[in-house]
Parts: sequence; structure tokens; C-alpha cells
Amino acid sequence: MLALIPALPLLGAIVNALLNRRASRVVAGGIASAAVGASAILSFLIFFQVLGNHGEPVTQTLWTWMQVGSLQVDIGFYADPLSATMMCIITGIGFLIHVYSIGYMDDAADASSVWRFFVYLNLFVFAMLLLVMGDSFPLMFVGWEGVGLCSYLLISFWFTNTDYASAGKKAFVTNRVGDFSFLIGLFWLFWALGDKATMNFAELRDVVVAHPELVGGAGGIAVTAICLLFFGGATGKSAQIPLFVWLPDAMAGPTPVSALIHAATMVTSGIYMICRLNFLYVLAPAALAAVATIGALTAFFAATIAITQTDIKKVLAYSTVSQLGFMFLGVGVGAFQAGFFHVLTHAFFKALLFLGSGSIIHALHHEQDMRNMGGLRKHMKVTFFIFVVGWLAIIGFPGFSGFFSKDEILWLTFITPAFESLPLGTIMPKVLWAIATATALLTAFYMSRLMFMTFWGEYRGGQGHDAHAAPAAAHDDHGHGGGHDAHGHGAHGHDFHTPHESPGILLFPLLVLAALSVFGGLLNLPHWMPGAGWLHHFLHPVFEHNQVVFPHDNPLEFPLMGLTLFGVACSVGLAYSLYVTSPRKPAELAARFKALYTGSLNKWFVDEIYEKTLLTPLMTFSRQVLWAVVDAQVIDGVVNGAASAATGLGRLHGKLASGRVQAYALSIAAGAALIVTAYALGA
Amino acid sequence: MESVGLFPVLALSAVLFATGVGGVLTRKNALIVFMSVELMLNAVNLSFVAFARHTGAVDGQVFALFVMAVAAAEAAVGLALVILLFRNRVTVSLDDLDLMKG
Amino acid sequence: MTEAVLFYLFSLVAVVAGISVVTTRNPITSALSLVVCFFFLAADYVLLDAHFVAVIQILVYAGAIMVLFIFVIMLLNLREDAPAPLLELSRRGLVGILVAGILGTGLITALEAMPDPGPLAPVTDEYGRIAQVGAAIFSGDYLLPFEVVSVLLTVALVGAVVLAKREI
Repeated sequence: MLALIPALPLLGAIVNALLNRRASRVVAGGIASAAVGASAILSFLIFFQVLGNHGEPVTQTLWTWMQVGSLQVDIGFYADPLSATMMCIITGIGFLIHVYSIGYMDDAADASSVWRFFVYLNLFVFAMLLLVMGDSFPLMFVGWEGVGLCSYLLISFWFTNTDYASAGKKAFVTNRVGDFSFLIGLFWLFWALGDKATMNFAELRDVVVAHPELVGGAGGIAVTAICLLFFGGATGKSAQIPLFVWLPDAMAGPTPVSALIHAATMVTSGIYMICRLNFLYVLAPAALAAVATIGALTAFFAATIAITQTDIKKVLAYSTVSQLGFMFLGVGVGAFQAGFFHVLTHAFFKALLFLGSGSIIHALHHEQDMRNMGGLRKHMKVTFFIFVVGWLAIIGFPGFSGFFSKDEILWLTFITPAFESLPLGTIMPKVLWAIATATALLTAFYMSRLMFMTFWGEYRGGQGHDAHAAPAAAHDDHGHGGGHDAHGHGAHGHDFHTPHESPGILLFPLLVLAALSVFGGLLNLPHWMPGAGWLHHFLHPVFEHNQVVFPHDNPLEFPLMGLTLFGVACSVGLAYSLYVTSPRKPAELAARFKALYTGSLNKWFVDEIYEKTLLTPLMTFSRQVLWAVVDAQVIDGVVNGAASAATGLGRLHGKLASGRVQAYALSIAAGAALIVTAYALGA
Repeated sequence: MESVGLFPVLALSAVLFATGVGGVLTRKNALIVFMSVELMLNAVNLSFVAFARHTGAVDGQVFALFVMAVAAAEAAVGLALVILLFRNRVTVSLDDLDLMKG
Repeated sequence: MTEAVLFYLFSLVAVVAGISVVTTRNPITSALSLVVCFFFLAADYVLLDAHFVAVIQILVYAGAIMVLFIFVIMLLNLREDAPAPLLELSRRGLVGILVAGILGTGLITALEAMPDPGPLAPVTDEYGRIAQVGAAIFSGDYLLPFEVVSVLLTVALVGAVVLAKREI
């Protein structure tokens, strides 16, 4: 039964691929949704089975994939509490997003290619399930690469637009860098374990726990390096510094893709991987510190960029990068459950926000610039309501899911004893906490800005882009671009000025997600509430080797929580005053702090820096040396040389084949004479 | 034949065989090449018979008979081919036949 | 002693006839030389106590096959071949003669180097006669090959007809 869960989406993809153009949007979407829906039902059954077993994993081995010496790799699936939870997230949210996509992908220009969309989407769910359910590194890596491939295919779904196609390539290439690091880590781990080497996670855990000296012991160089290399893979897939640059560009894909792949599931696979390998990471406090530091810095850095972006999806994209940073901070300080809990709640509310923004974009015919929105509160009441839910969840309004998960991470960061063995280990948690809290305030600010610019004020659509004082420099990608965009506007020109509410098929998944965003926090209530830490206990078997113990009796907990809440409230108030009561103010501020504003608007020029320091030299080297010399001369020389050598030999050989029978007879006779002579001389 | 022995017979066979090879390699007329081949076959037959006499068993002679039968079949088909060739090309010169030229 | 003299005499004639086969211009001369060669080879077979083979050699080879050859030559009305290769040697002719010479020399050298095969086995009067050969073919190991050869001859007959006939 376990194997059916990934098999069903694969089957859906195959069926849709075979039907291809014959399947209309509704048929293709129906098949895809049904496949994922059935998979979701099975996932929940497995989840409850694991729950009933008190965390005992459910496993199924299909067949032996490869056997090399003592190493055996199976096609086997493994559902422990961690995997089971991920499976439910993937298939559950995946199902909602599939249903949503049926309504969203109704653009006439996509009618002939929408089947492709659903094939990729199903394939993605399959690969993602493989990633979380695979019981060994190779299988996980297949999923890891599979989701990368599907991500690439879906980002460049509208591949006729060159910008979108190159966004896909950027995502793919950036991920390759991370994957390379991941693979080196894997090889190193394999090599370090020697004759005890295994690729199976459960066996690996037993080996590492029983023989920590194989990887250099606790705090050893080998285990630290391996963990850092794995984390390098995670920075690629989960968009952390320095490899985060692809995720904002990945918003080129259709919005459901952004919600499913680039917010809820794929980008969290880095956190999943670290949680899966927690038994290694707890041996390497320095690696954990690096994870936490990178996480905190990414969170802060992305939040500062999100403040000035005007594209609604870009804001959400940077917000995602920022929230992923939070998750890494959580696992980095040793609070694996807290980090994973944030994966869960973030999947709910970020999918909600993305799909909500999709609803707006759909209603406004691919308008993504917030400067051309405003006042939508009156036109799209349901969307507004669910956006409010998502907004409250992400800024951490008490009682909403985001509040519990984010607050837990902040608090556990403050008190973590994980870094005590490191130099500056006692200061570090406080610094990280400060950065994270600042990020929380920034989050509250930019999310409130998004809300106020989109839903408050007057509708500014169709007035041109100069309505807002901000320069239009960063406004470069909206709609499908090119002819597609023109088509959308042309076809619906008559109602361009009156945004309308989205149809029910878009709203139903939103309402489900809204409910989850509100109540998701109940899964893991803080320790001072009744019924606390349900998810924590459920996940405990996975993290039983985690030695980081968080004290429960710190008097600072509630004051700090109050401080954060107060800061969040101030941020919201500031955003309200800037974007609702005095809309002229942001432009003045931007003019006054021109350097900061320009920097943030242009994403701190990270892309440009990468371009200058890495890409340009690489391209120059490739063109001048690799292409002009190695490729054009050496390789082509060898290839062409081989070809002309073959031609020459052939021509020579052609002379032998004169076509005259006596010439052939001569060869035979000469051969016979040679043999006889040799025999005569030898004898 | 006790006074002659095996060697001179085999030497005669070798000489006839080499003569046949020379004919096959040098003549242009397909029929003469064909006859040279027959000469080579007979040289081989002579060896068979000589060895049969040397061992005292009759198997070599049986082989010689088989060779003759096969040679008869070969001559029938080969001569039919020559006729066909002549009918189509009005020549039996092997130099004019290079359709298989590479 | 008589046998030796006869053998060398027959052999000489056979070799001269053989050389004549490959060197004469006229195909008819060539074919008749081949007949002569076959006759003297048959004589050698008799000296080697292969009486039945000798008879068949004359009947089938010198008789049937060579008659077929001469028929074809007559039919095609082939007269003069190109100048005989011995008189006007082309490069190809030289190479051919060279290779054939090397082959013959090599064979004879190899024969000389061969270890002494010992004396001939003593044979009875029955040896090589039709009764013994027939017994070897029909009651020995050669029954199946013999039948296969009969099939081969049939196939060759049909093939020759198919090839040579203008219209079937």
C-alpha cells in the first residue's frame, strides 16, 4: 500500500501524457487531482497507522535496486513520523493545489498545453514523495533531482517567453551547485564509514549511533564537513544564502506552481533532509551553528528585500526565502521539531497566500504589480478574508498557526544550549534571536504593506504605472509577457476596470487552507498550554538522538514574547500609517534614504555581484578557452580527425575492393602462400 | 608403388595445384579460369588417393569420388553462369566484370 | 621399378598438360590439354590401386564434365583469348605467377620437411575395386553424405537449367 502513494501520481502523469492534447483542461486536471487525491487518502491512512504504532515506521521494500559488494540499495519506502507528516503535507496540499489549478489554468492560450502542466505537476508530486519516502540516499536523491527537474519544467512552463525560460535555467543551474555539494557529502560519508557503509537511513542511523568514531566522533572534522556539505545541498534546494537567487525568479511559473513547489513542499526538502540526518548533525555543533547562522542571515536579508518589492509574487517569494531561513534557524539551534513545525504551518499559510495572490492575479488578468491594485477589499470579499487569515498567520498573530511555530523558534533560539561547546557559544543564541526578532518585525511590516497596498485604498488598475511614486525600474515581469499578456488584456478588456471575485473552484482550496492556517497551531501548542507539544511527541522517535535539551523554566519567556508581539503591532501600525493614512510618505522616505531604498529594490545587487564575480569570468573563460581552444580545436580536431582518418582508410580500403574477382583470388592465394611458407620455414 | 613412395605423388599434386592457382590468377577468360579450378580440384584428388593408398584404407578414395560429384555440380552451375554472363555482356573476360567495385 | 618409370612418365605428361591448360591462347586447346591431364592422372590413380576412382575420373571428368566445357566453348564461339600471359606479361600476370610459384615452392618445401611417413601399407587385390568402395559408401559411414550429394546434384541440375534457360 505504501508504494501506491507515489505510484498513483506517476500513473496520473503517464495517463495524462498518453492522452496529451486529447485531454481538455478539466479532464487532465480531473485525472491529476484524482490521482493525488487518492494518494492523499492513502497518506492519511499511513499517517494514522504510524500514529497508532507510536511512531513505529511503516516500510515496504519492492525490489533490490543495485548490489555492489556488501552495499545493497533497495527500492524501498519508509514512513516514520517525519515522512508520514511530509507525505500528508505533500499530497494534501498538493491535492488542493491540483484542484485550484483546474480553475486557474483557464487561459485560452494555454488550452493546448495545459495537459503538460498537469503531467509535470503529477510528476512533481511523485518525485517529492520519492524524496520523503525513499528509505535510502540514492532513492532520496532520485526524488531530489526529480523535484528539481519538475521545478525547472514548471518554471519555464511558458517557455516561449525568454525571461521565463532563463528563470528555469537559473533555478536548475543554481540547484546543480547545491546538488554537487550534496553528492560530495554523500561520497565522503560513504567513504568514512568504510566496510560498515550503508545507504539505508535506518541502518545508517544505527551505524552512526553505535560507531560515532567512524565519522570522527562528536565535533569531529569529518562529520562537520559532511554535515556542511549536505547543508550546501540544502541551501540550493531550499534557497538559502548564497544560492537563494533562483527562488524569486522562479515566480515566472504559474502561481499554483509557486504555491506547491516554491513555497509549500520542494523548498522545504532541505529542512527535511537535515531532520532526516539529525543523528549526524547533533554530532557536529559547528555545522548546526552554521545552519542556524545562515538561516538567520537569510531570513533577515530576504526580509529587507521584500520590503520594497512591488510585484506581489516577488514579495511572497522573498517572504518564503525568509521563512525558510526561520526553519533553518530552528533546526540549526537543535530544535528540529520546532523547525519542522514551521515547515508545516508555513506550508499552510504560504500556500494560502500564494493561491490567494493567484486569485487576485487571475481576477486582474495577470496583473502582478501591487501599484496597480488597491481597494480589492470591496471587490473580492472572500479572497480578502482568506488573505487576512494568511496575513495574521504569517505575522504571528496570537492564536494563528504562524504564531506558535515562529514564537517557538524564537524562544528556543534564545535559550538553546546547542552551541555551548563552541567559542562565543553563549552569545551566539542571543545574537541569532535578535536577528530573528528583527526579521519577524520586518515580516510584519512587508506583509502589512502588501495587504494595505492590495486591499485598502482605491483601485488603481488601468491608470498606468506612474500612480505610485516609486520608479518603475524593478517592474519588469508581470503577466505572461509578450503576446500572451496582450491576449489576456484584449480578450477581457471590457471588464478590466472592475475586478471580480474568483470562481468557486479557486475559492474552495483557499478556504480549506485558511482553516488549516488558523488551526494548524493546535498540532503543537507551546508547553504552557494544555495538550502541549502533540507533534513534538509524535516526532520524538525520529529525533531521539538529539541531546539538545531546552529548559522549561526560564522567566524571560513571556516578556520576550510580549516584546515581539509589541514590535509586530508597531510594524503593522507603521505600515498602516505609511500606506493607508499618508500614501505620499513612502516616496519621501525612499528619496531620503535613497541608497538603502535602491539597494533593497534591486535585491542588494546580489544577482549583479554574482554576474560580475562568477558568471562573467566563467563565461569569458568558457568562450575564450573552453570553446575557442578546447572545443573548437582540441575536441573538434580529434572528432574531425577521427572522421577524416576513417574516410582515408575507407578510400584506401575501397582501392582493395576493385570489384574484380581475380584481385580477391590473389588475396586468398597470397594468404595461403604466406601460411604455407610460414609453415615450411617453421617446419 | 613401393619403389616410388608417397612424396613424389604429393609433389606432383603440389605442382599441379600451383599451376592451377597460376591459371586462376593470370588468365582473363572465365572459362580458362574455370578449368584452372578443375585442375586444382584434381590436384587435391590426387592427394586424397595417395593418402588412401598410403594408409591402406579406402576412405580417401571415397572422398575423391565425392569431390568429383561436387565438381560436376559446380561445373553445371558455373557453366550456366558463364552462359548467362555471355548472354548479358557478350564477353567472358573477367576484367570487364567490376560491378562490385568499392 | 616399372611402376616408378611409369609414374614419372605419366606425371611429366600431366604437368606439361596442366601448364598447357593455363598458358594456351585458345580455350579449345586449353580444354583438350585438361582432358589429357585428366587421363594421365587417371593412370596415376591406377598405379595407386584406385581402380574405381580411375574409371570414374575418365568417365565423369574427362568424359562428361570436359564435354560440357567444350560444348560451352563451342556454343559461345570463343576463339582467341588475349595474348598468352607468358609471352606478354602484365603486372598482374607477374604477381600471379609469383604468388603461385611461392605457393608451390612452399608446399614442396613443407613436404620435404615432413617427417618420414614410412612405407606404404600392404593391400590386398580387392583394394580400390568397385566392391570395396561400394561397401565403404553404402554400408560404411558415407551413406548419408552420399545421399546428400545426390540431392546436391539435383539442385545443381535445376539451378543450371534456371540460370541458362532464356525463358522458363
